[in-house]
Amino acid sequence: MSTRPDQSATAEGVSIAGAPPPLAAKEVSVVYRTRGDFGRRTARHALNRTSIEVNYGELVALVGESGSGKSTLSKVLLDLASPSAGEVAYHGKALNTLTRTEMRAYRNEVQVVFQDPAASLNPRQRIWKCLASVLELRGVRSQLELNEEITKLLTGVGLNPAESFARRFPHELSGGQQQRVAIARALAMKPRIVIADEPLSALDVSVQAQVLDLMIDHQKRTNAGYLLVTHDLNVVRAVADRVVVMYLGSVVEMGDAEQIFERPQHPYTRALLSSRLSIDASKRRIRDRPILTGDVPSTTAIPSGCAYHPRCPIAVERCSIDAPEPRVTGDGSSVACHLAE
Amino acid sequence: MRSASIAECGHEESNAVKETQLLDIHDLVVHFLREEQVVKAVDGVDLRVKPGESVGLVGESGSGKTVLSRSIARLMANAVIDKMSGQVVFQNTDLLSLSERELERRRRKSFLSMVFQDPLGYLNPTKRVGRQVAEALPPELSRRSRRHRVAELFTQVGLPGDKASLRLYPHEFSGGMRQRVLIAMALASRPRLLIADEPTTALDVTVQVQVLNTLERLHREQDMALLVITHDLALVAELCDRVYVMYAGQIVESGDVETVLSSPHHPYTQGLIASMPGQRRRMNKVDGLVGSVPNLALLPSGCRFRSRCPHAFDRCEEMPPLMPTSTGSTSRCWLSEPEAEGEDPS
Repeated sequence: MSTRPDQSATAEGVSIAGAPPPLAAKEVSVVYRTRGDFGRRTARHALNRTSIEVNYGELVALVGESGSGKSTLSKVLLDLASPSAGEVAYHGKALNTLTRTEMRAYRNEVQVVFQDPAASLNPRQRIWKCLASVLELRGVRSQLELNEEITKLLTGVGLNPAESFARRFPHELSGGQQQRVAIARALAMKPRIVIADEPLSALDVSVQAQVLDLMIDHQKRTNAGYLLVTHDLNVVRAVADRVVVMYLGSVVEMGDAEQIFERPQHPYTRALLSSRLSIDASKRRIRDRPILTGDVPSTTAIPSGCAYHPRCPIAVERCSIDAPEPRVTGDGSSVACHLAE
Repeated sequence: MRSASIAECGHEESNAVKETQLLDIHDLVVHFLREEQVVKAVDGVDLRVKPGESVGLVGESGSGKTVLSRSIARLMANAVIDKMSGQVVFQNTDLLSLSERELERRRRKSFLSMVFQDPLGYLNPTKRVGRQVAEALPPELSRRSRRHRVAELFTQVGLPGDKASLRLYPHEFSGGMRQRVLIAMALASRPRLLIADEPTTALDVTVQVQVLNTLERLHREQDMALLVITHDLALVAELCDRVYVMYAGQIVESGDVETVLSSPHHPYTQGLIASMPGQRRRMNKVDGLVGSVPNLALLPSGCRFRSRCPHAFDRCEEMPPLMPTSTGSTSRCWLSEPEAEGEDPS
């Protein structure tokens, strides 16, 4: 791909493998200025110096509760929100320095699947038109080719018979089918990076598994990089290679999925994992579960020091004063806690 | 309590069965009209809850579980109902046979309460929370005992019971706290049965555990029966003793939670369990169900799960009844008959 930015251009983005990651956020902050109750000016700190990278062939899960900034981070990576500080780099080059051709390559290569499929499809457009307009961007022009590609795409996401689905409008499809169309639309660009923001949460349990299956299949087949934003830890456990845990706009821990689940270091990660309900009744019943007290604080009033300290069971005095910097621990994961080993 | 009531009416077998049920739904049918089509939301459901028991009702959207729960409290609007039959016997009274006036009178001192999914939708945004909880109390209470009882209810559900907190408005509370306010309102009448419809779906996971923990504690301490309606099998596994699995307006499987989850008989239950990712460690392909819940207005003949079922065979054109299985649960599947098990339909 000659349209990608020169990979040796930026020195600081070079990863161990030699080339900078295809998509990375570096120390990104996002502050939304809003008017609160009775028109008072408030600042919402959605992201606070957050860094993340997505590489080809890996599935990164971004987890956290509401208000943790996971959706904002995925928007920043998609260039749908602009950071107040820090930058997003595509193959090591900041988005705002990309040339037009490079920007087009970025737009083609990075695709998105949103949470609400009904809202992300044009209600007045037949599925055929929806996919055709994307394929035209890729240079597919002739009616014959378009029909062929659309049939291939729809069959690929399990919508059979494809000709019948292509003729329909989004409202004639179920939620699961709509989400499949949304995925087909993302895949139409042959993306190498897919950002999926809660793609399952609007779907029924049995349909969730089908849609997840579809994405994993694509990821494995094309060796694409996936960023899966979710709050469902059971899904993460099943499919993620790497896990990034966010709390109130900051990454508190990230590392290999196996390590995060088996040896979580940050007290918030531990609390989050222990809140994962299990159908294995012999494991634990609700009454024996440790409870994390309190709610996620508002992003308009982030606590001083470590944002987690008011809810943390092991917090010490220092935690309310100093914000902990992320540190790489012995097993290669990164954790932002003063007390982590 | 359970043993006491059995002893009281042990002299007559049939009576004993009746008396030990707190809620006894028998052959409930609720059909309603939507765009001139009959939607068979609840189609011949039997469901029982014993005093002090915790029961789960699991189903996907479109299974009819919410219509069922609303029908118990007779909250379905009469205008849309096409057909409603069967019995909903609560504490020996058939709620469906009551007149509107009688129903209203009973609701005031009801021993049956409900908690819904979206707490903000059920709270008045312009009234202080303390006052809203007080409205649920019996009217004959004095002002002072009323205030005292509200504070008590707040503490019971894990909210601060101080004066300042009672004077807050719903918007000043977080989602988890609002759900607690709703639970406090539900508890005001000292219910014997609390119906919770997706009580934690709108909440964050860590807050979900808090609220479920509170529900479980109240259930245990006050010997209050729970009927939890949810799409989440894991929630049922953690909170309930017994489970009913609902599909397309019917109960397809019921039994002890542990039995049903460890040896599910109905192919739908099996698929539902297999659909849950991460319960088994890391897998490449998440297997489970194909297709989705059928339209309740256009149901297929015979077994309603037939079109999605990997084991469907000729006999499935005939609707199977709920039948006892070898493990003590019941299942609406021809293959669940003890003698049919192990048989290969193909």
